[in-house]
Amino acid sequence: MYRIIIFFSLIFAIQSVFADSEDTGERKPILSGYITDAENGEALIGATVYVKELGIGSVTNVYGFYSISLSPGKYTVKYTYIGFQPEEVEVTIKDKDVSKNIELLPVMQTIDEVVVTGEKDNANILRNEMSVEKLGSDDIRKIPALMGEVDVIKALQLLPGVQSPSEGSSGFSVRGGNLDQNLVLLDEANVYNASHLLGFFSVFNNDVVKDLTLYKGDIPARYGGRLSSVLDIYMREGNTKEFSGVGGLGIISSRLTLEGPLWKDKISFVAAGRRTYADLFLPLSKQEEVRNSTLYFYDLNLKINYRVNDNNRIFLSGYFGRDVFGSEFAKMGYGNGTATARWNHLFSKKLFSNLSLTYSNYYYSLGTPPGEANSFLWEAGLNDLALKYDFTYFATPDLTINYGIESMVHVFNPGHARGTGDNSAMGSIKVPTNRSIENGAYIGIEYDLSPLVSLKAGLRNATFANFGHETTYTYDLETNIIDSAEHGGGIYNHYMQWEPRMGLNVKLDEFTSVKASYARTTQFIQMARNSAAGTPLDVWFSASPNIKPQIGDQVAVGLFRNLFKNKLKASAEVYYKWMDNAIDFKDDAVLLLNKDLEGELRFGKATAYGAELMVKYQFEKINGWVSYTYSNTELEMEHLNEGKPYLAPYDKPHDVSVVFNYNVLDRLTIGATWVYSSGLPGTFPQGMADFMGTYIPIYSGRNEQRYPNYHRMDLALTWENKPKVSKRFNSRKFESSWNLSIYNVYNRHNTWAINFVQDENDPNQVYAEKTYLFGILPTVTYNFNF
Amino acid sequence: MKNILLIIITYSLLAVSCTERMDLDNDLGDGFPKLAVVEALISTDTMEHVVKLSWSKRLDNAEAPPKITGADVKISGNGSEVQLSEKEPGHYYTPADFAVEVGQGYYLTIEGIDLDEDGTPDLITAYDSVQNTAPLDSVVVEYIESWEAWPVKPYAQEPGNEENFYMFRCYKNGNMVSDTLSELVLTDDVLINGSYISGLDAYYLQAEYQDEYVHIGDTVTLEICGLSKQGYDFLIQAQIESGYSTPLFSGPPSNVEHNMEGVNVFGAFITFSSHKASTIWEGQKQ
Repeated sequence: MYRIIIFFSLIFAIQSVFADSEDTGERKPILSGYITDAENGEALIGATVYVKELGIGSVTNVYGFYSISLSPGKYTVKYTYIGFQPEEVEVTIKDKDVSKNIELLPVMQTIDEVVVTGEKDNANILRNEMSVEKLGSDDIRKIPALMGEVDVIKALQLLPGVQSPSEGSSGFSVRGGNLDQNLVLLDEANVYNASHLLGFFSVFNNDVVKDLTLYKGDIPARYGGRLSSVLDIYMREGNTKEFSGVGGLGIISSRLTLEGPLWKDKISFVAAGRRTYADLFLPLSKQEEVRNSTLYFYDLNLKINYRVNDNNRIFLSGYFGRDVFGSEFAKMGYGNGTATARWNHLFSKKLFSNLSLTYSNYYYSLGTPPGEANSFLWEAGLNDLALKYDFTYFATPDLTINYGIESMVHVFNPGHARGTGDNSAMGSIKVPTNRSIENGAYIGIEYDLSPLVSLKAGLRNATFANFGHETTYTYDLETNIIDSAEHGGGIYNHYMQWEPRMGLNVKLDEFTSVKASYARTTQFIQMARNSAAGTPLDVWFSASPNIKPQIGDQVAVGLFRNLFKNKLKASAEVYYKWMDNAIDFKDDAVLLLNKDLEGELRFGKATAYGAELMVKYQFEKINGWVSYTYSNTELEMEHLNEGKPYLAPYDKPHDVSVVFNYNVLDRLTIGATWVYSSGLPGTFPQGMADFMGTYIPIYSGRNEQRYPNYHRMDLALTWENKPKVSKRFNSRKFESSWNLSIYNVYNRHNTWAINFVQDENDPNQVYAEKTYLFGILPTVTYNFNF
Repeated sequence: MKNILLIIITYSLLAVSCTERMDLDNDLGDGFPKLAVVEALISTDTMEHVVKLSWSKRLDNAEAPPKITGADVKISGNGSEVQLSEKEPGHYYTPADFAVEVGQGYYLTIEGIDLDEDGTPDLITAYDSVQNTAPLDSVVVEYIESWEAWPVKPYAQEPGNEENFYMFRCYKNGNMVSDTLSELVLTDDVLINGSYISGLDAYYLQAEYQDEYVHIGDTVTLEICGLSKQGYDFLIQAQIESGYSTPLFSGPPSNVEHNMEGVNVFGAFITFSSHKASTIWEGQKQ
């Protein structure tokens, strides 16, 4: 704690230097404000502010705020944002700060695309950031969807460096990392399991997603806690102008989002819900066990946005979702809940702050119906409570300083299983609750050394401590306890790590830049996941006296080049990363309800390298991207695979994605995706041993073979119906569309699992049998908005 | 617990998944040595116990695995040693009056096999100890129509002062119906430690299998076996490795840990205690 106090004393000292200069009247006046969507009042993230006369600019932060220092004079300031009509404003700066809030109008389809495409749309060249992917909800909506469910994470899996762990999965591996090495944030709250229906759909309802950014490397200092990536998702704030809605009816689910002002231009809300209804048809089944089954998920999003005044804004948001499975013999449920309260405050036109209080909950249960001798219920989960205070100081047009502090308490309940009902013969077992606290303090600067060269540097101090009444154990390689220690409360173990971050951007010309970055990241909590795709029952556990924090270092270099007036953006990045204290599990590890879980772990190192090529295009009628990734990821663990290196479970050397959207007619759009990747690593038997009439496979090394290569094409046709204008509801326009999505157009039977099966008629014959999930799968969805 | 989860997941996926045979590289197993496979399950029942020896085979070999003949097989422990005799190829039998005893440790010794193909015979040894089990007071059979199965329910006091590992086997009219690895029911005592086991479903006789269909008047016998931890771990890992795996719930495939000592050898020497209880099926009571 004393380090944090010292750190912040230093920060406030630095800040006071700038504040002093404000008081002297020697500083330059400031032009600042918010940029919003003129139609619904949503803040625009990453909108560009460009002062023509000076050739300098700035971009809005995640709350749509910008700030730029200018000498007194008359300026032409241009505000641009992709998909919106640019706006030029004449601004006269005298000796006082100027506040200028801007509302940009969305591009209308009838306007010539050439006119509205921002000519300064070269932010990818100008910005000193790399290894970052951004997708808007409109981009995601155009992509063909599995069973018609537009899915944020499925869209991410089409980006370079992002791998799907298995067909249909909502997990993702970034640059060879494990699935638990991604920090997934929804309005700054951790989402621990971002999947519905065992991973086939993600928890994010695209209708309420405002913006998402995936950091694959070059992770800003304000983020910490995961090795591989940060997926930062913000929910929409709600229409501050008028009441509106959007929804859809699909074959497996329907959804509805309503939003509007509670106090025009002051308070707005957005509320969204989704539910699957396949279970409504189960009673029609001829099979009794199917009739008595339950199978559905639902989720709810709610957000309220209060613009108190130009200096203060308050946001309250939350998510709650559940998956429910049940049958005559078993039941399972799981889900996430998050809550976020944020306060944006401008201490001055130069100093923006955000205070966030977040809560995350993940819960799962497994059991059997009550009333039987076997009846039991197994529950597990975790809770996080975090407080975060972030500051952005727009010191000069060339220098921005970010700094902040955060603290998060983790309470993990690894599992409590017990008999239920009077007839149950089951006893009770509880794996002790684990408590820990994770703190971070950071500072980062972004500085333009010259018009062509910009530098970014950051430093994060990450600390972690275990606390509470606990007994810790020391294990041998056979998971036998060889020593123990009792802890009577308070902190009994802690770690501290400095995490430097750096970035350099050299602009070769207006359309070309070369970037380089380095980032160190530390991870204190991880998931016991001994499966390729993961299940809802995965167990999170923290660093401890036995488990040192995982540490990752990554360097990356990239070349970025825009062509055809920024309509075609090409990038090439190479990266190399190395990780210490990497974790894997011993063979046949027992992960569930195991109080000695730490004894099942093996430690070592991991290395990953690769190259990512991407061409993104945005022409008048055609847009999309093509990406190719080459990568290699290896693990080397003591006491695993005889100490020899082996391929990481998500290693796919070659990965290609093609995304294509074509506006054939004003009302007809065709979308297509094609993906190709090397097969995942696999371990196949080198021999078979007959034991009690069953053949048991004999293996050589881990992951020495590969599954067959994967490829698939999906198509989507979207037909926009003619808008209807309601005379009853104040001339409100009702728009609707039909979407036909065809998953796996050429019906390829991609391998999801391989099993070695004994022939029923000839038990001595063992053959390889592949399981594939989806053949060609057409779906229709009706979407509407008003 | 794992089995329950697997059932749920499999059930959920059956609606959308399909299977088909596939070809893999023909070089699987090239250069990989064949292993001697030992199957030795010896109980506290006095009877002729058998130790089976065979060679492992390649995946693409559709023939029965070759038997290992001419080996010298012995079991020693509790102050005595017995020589097993090969009555059919690869099957080595103890004398009919042989049984292991609870609380004792036993060694299996196999000699006379050239395991590393160097022209000289090699030695295989293994050790296991006989653990206690919960004696069955009685057993009850019911019928669940929607499942088309007869759950077999034991009644017994679980000893609470020790860590126990159980194997359940079932017999109909004296014939074992759980005679393959996948039909064994295995559990630890984590959730039942020290409890009176009052009618847990320990085994399911399924109507779809001829040898398990229960007619009125049939005698159903349940056997509860006390295993050592290493024996339990071997059997449960062998079930997992030979069973259905999916990316959702299966870890990376790995070799099953076993207690055979020697080069190029695989298998298990498992000694266990055994208690049985029987009931006659008289039809579903209303």
